[in-house]
Amino acid sequence: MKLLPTVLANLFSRPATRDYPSYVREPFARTRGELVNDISRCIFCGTCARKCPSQCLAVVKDSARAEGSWSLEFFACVGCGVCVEACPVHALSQKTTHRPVAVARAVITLRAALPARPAKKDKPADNAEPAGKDEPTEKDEPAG
Amino acid sequence: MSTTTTTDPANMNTATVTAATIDPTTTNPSTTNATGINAAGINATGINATTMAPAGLLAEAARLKALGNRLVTLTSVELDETHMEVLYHFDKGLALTTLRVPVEKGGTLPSISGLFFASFLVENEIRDQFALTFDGLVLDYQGRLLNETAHTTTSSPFCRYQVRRVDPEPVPGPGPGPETEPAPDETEAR
Amino acid sequence: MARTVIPFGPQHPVLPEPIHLSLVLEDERVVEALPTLGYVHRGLELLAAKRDCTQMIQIVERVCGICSMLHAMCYCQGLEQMLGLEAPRRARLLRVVWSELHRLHSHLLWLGLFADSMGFEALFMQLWKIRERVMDVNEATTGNRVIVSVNVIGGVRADLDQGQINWIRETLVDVEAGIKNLQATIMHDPTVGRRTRGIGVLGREAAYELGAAGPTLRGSGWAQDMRQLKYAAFDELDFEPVVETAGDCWARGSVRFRESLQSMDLVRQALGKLEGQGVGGELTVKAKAKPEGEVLTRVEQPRGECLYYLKGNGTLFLERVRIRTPTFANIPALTAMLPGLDFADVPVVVLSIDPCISCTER
Repeated sequence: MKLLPTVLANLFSRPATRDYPSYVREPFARTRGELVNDISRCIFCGTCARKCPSQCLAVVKDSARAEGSWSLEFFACVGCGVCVEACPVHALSQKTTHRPVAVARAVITLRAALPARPAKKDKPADNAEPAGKDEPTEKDEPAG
Repeated sequence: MSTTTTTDPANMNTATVTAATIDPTTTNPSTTNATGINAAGINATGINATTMAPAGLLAEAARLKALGNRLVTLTSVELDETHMEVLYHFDKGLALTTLRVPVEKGGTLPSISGLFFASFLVENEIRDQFALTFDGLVLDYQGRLLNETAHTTTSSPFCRYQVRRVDPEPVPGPGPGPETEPAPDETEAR
Repeated sequence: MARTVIPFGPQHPVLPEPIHLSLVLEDERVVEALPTLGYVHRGLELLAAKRDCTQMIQIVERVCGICSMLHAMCYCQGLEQMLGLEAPRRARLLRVVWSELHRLHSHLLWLGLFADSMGFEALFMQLWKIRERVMDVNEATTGNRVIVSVNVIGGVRADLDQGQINWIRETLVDVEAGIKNLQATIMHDPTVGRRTRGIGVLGREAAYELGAAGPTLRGSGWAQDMRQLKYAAFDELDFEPVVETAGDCWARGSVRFRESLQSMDLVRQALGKLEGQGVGGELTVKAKAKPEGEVLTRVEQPRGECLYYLKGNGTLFLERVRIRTPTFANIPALTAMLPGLDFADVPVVVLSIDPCISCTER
C-alpha cells in the first residue's frame, strides 16, 4: 500500500525506459568504446602490447621488409584504455560507441610501413619504465 | 631455513610498529615499506608479524581469542620449492595482529576451526590450492571444496613448484582429472 | 523425524552469483546448511604471476563487478604503501567520490534484489530505475558504467571539472528524492516487515566470533567500519558507521539503506572539497622503485571489510596477491544463521548477507 502513490505516478507518466533501437542515447564524451588505431601514425614500438592487461594486442616489427603489423584480438579486449594512455604517439584512441556485435571471433590486423627513422625523437621509454608510469609523455611528437 | 620458535608477547596487539619482516629466504629484509605512511594512515605499513612454530599455534590463537580478537583470514605464501608459510591475521578494534607460521610444503598444520569457526572455509581453500592439510577441521571437504573431481592428493594448483604426495592406496577417480598447471615462467619480465 | 537434503543453488533467482548450499531439512525447518563453492573460481590470485603489478589493477577490478573500484583502490593503496608513495589529495578525494558512488549503486542493487527475493517486483524496478542515474554518472565521469578503471598506482587517471561536479550534485538530488520516496515502503511496509523482522537473527557475540563483516556485522550492533581507518580522503570527511542492533534481515537492510544516504552525503562532502581545491593539480605520483616487501591493507567495500596482502620481490611481478573479500567472511556467519529457519525464509536470509560469490571465489 505504501507504494501506491509511486505506482499511480508511474501509471500516468512517461516510461522510464528508452525505446531502443528507435531512439539511441547520445554517448557520453568520455565513454570508452571501440579501440581504433590510426595505423599511419603507429611506430610499432609495442608499448600497447606490453601494457595490455588482457594481452590482446600483438605488435610485430619486420625490419627486413620495413613493415609492421598491429593486431587486436577484440573479443579479449576489455576496453580499459591503458594502451591509449600508453601510446607515445597517440595513434590509439577509443570511440564513444561500442563495437557492433560480431558472430565469430577474429583478430583485426593492421599493417603499415615502418616509419622512416628520424633522429632520436621518437624513442619511447618502454622496458625501463618503473611500475606505475601510465601517462603518455606530452613531449613526444607523432612520427613521420 | 631456520625457524624461530620464540613468541614475542610484547609485540602483540600493537598496530603502529613498522618492523621489517622476518623472511628467512631473502637476504635483505626490506626497508622500503617502512616509509611513506599516508597522512593519517593507520593501515599497517610493513607487517608486524610474529613468527611461530605450528606447535604453538593453537595456544596462541586461544590467547588472542581470549583477548577479544577475531580472525580475519589466513594467507598462504609459497616461499620456494619446499617451504611455505601461512600468515594468520587477527583483528581487534581495527588493529591487525599477524602470526607467521612456516611449514613444509605438503605438510600439516593444526586447524584453528575449533576456536574460530570462520576459519574452516579458508583452511579448506588453502588445502585445495596449496595442498596443505589441517588437522582437526570441523568441516572438512577433503580437498573438494572448489573442485569436486580434483585429485586431492596431487593437486596444488596455486603453487609454482608443485607438491607431490604419495598416497598409500590408489585414488579411484574419473581418470586423470583437471591436473596441475605447469609452473609459469617467472623470468618473463618484460 | 525424516531429514531431506535440498540443494539451494547454484542457480537461484535470489543469487547474483552461483553458490551451492545443501540444506538439511526436517519437515520444512532447516537443521543444517553446508556451503559448496567453486562455480566461479577463476584463480585470479594466481594470475599475479603472469601479469605485472600495473596490469594487475585491471585484473583485480574484475574480482567483483559491483565493488570493482574498491578492489582496485585497495590494491593501489597497498602498492603505494609498499613503494612509499602517497597519492595526491585530489586523487584521494576523487577516490572517495567514486568509491562512495560504487557503494551507493551496490546498495541500491541490493535493495532491489532484496525486494525481488520477497516477490516485490515493483519496488525492485523502482530501485533499479534510480540506480540507473548513478550508472550514468559513472559512465560520464570515468568512461564505463560498471568497471570504471580509474585507479592507477599513485593516484587516479580521470578528473572532474566543475561542470561534472554540478551535474553529479543534481543527479544526487534526484537519487536522494527517489530513495526517500521509497523509504516508507522499504523500512515500514508491514508485508516487508513480516518477511524480514525477526528472521535470520545473528546475535551480537556470534556475529563477532564468526568473523562477519560489513552490514552483517553492523546490523548486529558492532560499530566497525574500515573507513574508520581513514584511508583515501576519509581523514578529512565526517563519517560515523551506521549501526543497528536487531541482527535480523530487517536490520541489515536498514543498515544498507542508511548507508546509501550516508554515501551520498560523503560524495557531497568530497565534491565540496574538490571544488574548494579548484580544477587541475596532480592526479598521480610516479613510482620510483619496484615493489618489494609485504604489506597489508584494508578498505570497506559495500559488503564489508576487504583485506589485501601483497608481497613484492623486487621485480615488476608481485610474488603474492592475497585477497580476502567480505562475503568470504560472511559465509560462515550464514551457515550459522540458517539453522532453525523455515525453508521459505532461506532465500531472503541468504540474500541479506549480500552474497557476492565472485568475490568469494576470485
